[in-house]
Amino acid sequence: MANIKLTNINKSYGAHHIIKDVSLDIKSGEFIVFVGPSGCGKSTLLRSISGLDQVTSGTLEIDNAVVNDVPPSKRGIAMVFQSYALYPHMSVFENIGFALENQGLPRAEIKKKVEAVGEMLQLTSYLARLPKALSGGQRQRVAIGRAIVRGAKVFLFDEPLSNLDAALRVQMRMEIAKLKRDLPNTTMVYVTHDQVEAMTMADRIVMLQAGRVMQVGTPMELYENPNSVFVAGFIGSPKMNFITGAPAEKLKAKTIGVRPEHFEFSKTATDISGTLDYTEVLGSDSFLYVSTPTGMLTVREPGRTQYKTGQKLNLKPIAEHVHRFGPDDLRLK
Amino acid sequence: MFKKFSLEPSRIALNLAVLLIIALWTFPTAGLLISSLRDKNDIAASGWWTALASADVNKKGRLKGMADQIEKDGKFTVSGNLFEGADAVSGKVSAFGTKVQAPGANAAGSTATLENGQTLLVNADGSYVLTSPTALTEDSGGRVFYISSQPPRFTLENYQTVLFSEGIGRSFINSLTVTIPATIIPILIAAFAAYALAWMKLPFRGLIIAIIVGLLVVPLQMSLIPLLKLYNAAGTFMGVPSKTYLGVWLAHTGFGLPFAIYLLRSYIAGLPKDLIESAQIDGANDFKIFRRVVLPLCFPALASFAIFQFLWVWNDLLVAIVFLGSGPDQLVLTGKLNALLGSRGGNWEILTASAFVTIIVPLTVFFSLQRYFVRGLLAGSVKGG
Repeated sequence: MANIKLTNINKSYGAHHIIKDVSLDIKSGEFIVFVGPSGCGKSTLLRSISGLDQVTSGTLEIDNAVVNDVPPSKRGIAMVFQSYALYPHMSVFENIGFALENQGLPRAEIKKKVEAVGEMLQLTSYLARLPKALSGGQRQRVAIGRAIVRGAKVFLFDEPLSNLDAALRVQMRMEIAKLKRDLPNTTMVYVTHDQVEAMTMADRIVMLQAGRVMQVGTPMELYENPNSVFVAGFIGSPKMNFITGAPAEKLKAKTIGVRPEHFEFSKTATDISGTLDYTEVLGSDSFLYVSTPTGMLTVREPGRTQYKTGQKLNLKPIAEHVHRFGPDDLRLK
Repeated sequence: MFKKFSLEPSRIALNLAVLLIIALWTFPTAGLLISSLRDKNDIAASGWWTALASADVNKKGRLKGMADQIEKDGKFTVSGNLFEGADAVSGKVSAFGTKVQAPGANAAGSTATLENGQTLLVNADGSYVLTSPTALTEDSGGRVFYISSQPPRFTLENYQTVLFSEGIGRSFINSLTVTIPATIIPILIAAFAAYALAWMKLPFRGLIIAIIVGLLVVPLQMSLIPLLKLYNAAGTFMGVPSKTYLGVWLAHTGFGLPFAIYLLRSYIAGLPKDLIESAQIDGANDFKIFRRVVLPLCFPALASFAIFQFLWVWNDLLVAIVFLGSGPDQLVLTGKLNALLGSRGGNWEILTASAFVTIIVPLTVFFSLQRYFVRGLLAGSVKGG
């Protein structure tokens, strides 16, 4: 059980101000995902929590104790690196047991714990192997095993799935979700640039841009009530459509955002009309790319579509799903 | 696969250059080795490239006399073998004659007619039959001159001589006594320094690295005598004699350290940052990270430096002359070779064997450690591995 509290955290590298005044309250046992585009500071924030980087100002508390000056190994955290960072010359057993060895545990106890973790992660028959003899998914599991074996209160994941291929990524996503279920008291902080990972795994998402927290909330809160154009555009796939000009002004907004699934087709002319440029038929859905005076819009239609390329379409946003944004790109009440 | 066999001009040029380098390297080495294994008379008589061919040598022998003659059908015969006796050599007779001026007058296997009606048959294997119409009257038979073609002869005698009588064996031990500690000590120091300069947050780290790189270009000759004076002064102060193995170890360590730190630091700094950080989170302190993570992983760099340092110290003459005495218990191989050149300059069998004893160790070191130059120990640790 450990909560994490960040108060006015700032982090600079020389003149570069990376993390700007971030305050965050992570509850014990929560699965938090930091998401944002490359260079938004999400990894730096994670490294600050881990202690690998020192914060420039602000207070960082883990389990209600200020840990600003506590070294990484004493913070009760475990970290899974993007590159897995397995020790290449040590067997899987030694890799997992290294932290316990550093704690000075007796051999028998290390063996017992490592084997228990190996069983939990289906690594039992690989314990004697070197990392290079493992597949990507297995290496990932060893990296997770290293975190589990220490019984850390906080797990930090730094883009752990970005080196895996698409199919394995889905599988590991499920395994990590299952791991969270098996360790309900462990607080997990997960960094990714993939909004799908964020949406599927997070209890709460922390959306970052340029070192600032843009929005914090459950995946559905961010999906349904994005507080800015940035969040609205980042969450959801395909991207939300943004319409400026006359249709937006009619709703007293600078920009309106409509998700692809929130359009209706109208027989009569509407103020958003265009020609169908291109269709992607996926079977379960079809994505229609409609060229309109305000730009290219994406429309999602369930199943197959009856519309043909080059056809003129009249689009009408569903009123209750229209997001209105003001001149500052923030959501209008 | 096809690319491998394509005949691009640059590739041909490269291969030719490699072949040339190999030839330049191999021929003298092979010559040295072959010469050192030959008989000392052979070395003086012919070049090493003829060593595998048979050598023709003029020999003489004496036939058996009246005591061994057998009478048969009114003729008297004496038979025997030229190769029997004290200076028997396993060889082949290619020609023979009875006059010293013409040892090759008759081909082996043919019968020669002698002055007094005697005939002499000599076979290639040295067996002969002398047939005489009258009884032989002398105790010893006539002389036979023959050309014997001898098979190539190799011997370890030269090595035995240089190792046990010429003092090369003792110098070999001295060289090892200098070289092994002078290789290990700088590695130990440099590995620690390299880790600290690569991964620990130290004040003036950049400056220290710059100074070490600067030391790389200090010529040894410039600092040799000041260093000796410093060492002697310190030695006098502490009551240590001036010419000791400790002194030469320290000198080699000092001269080797900048390069060792430079080489190891760049290798250790290139290890994945995640590995070091992961070990930090796993609760390992710097010493533990160094010992359990960094040291095993930088083994290829340690090995390559070890080769450099070993070869340099082994082949060094200057530092050894300055810091060590010239007595038999301190003279290293290079010094001994130098001394032999003066005293035994004409004895090629001594010089070649000594030289080969000198290069055998560097060759062994190189061939046993060379795989660490190419082996990537990092495979599998990080993505794509």
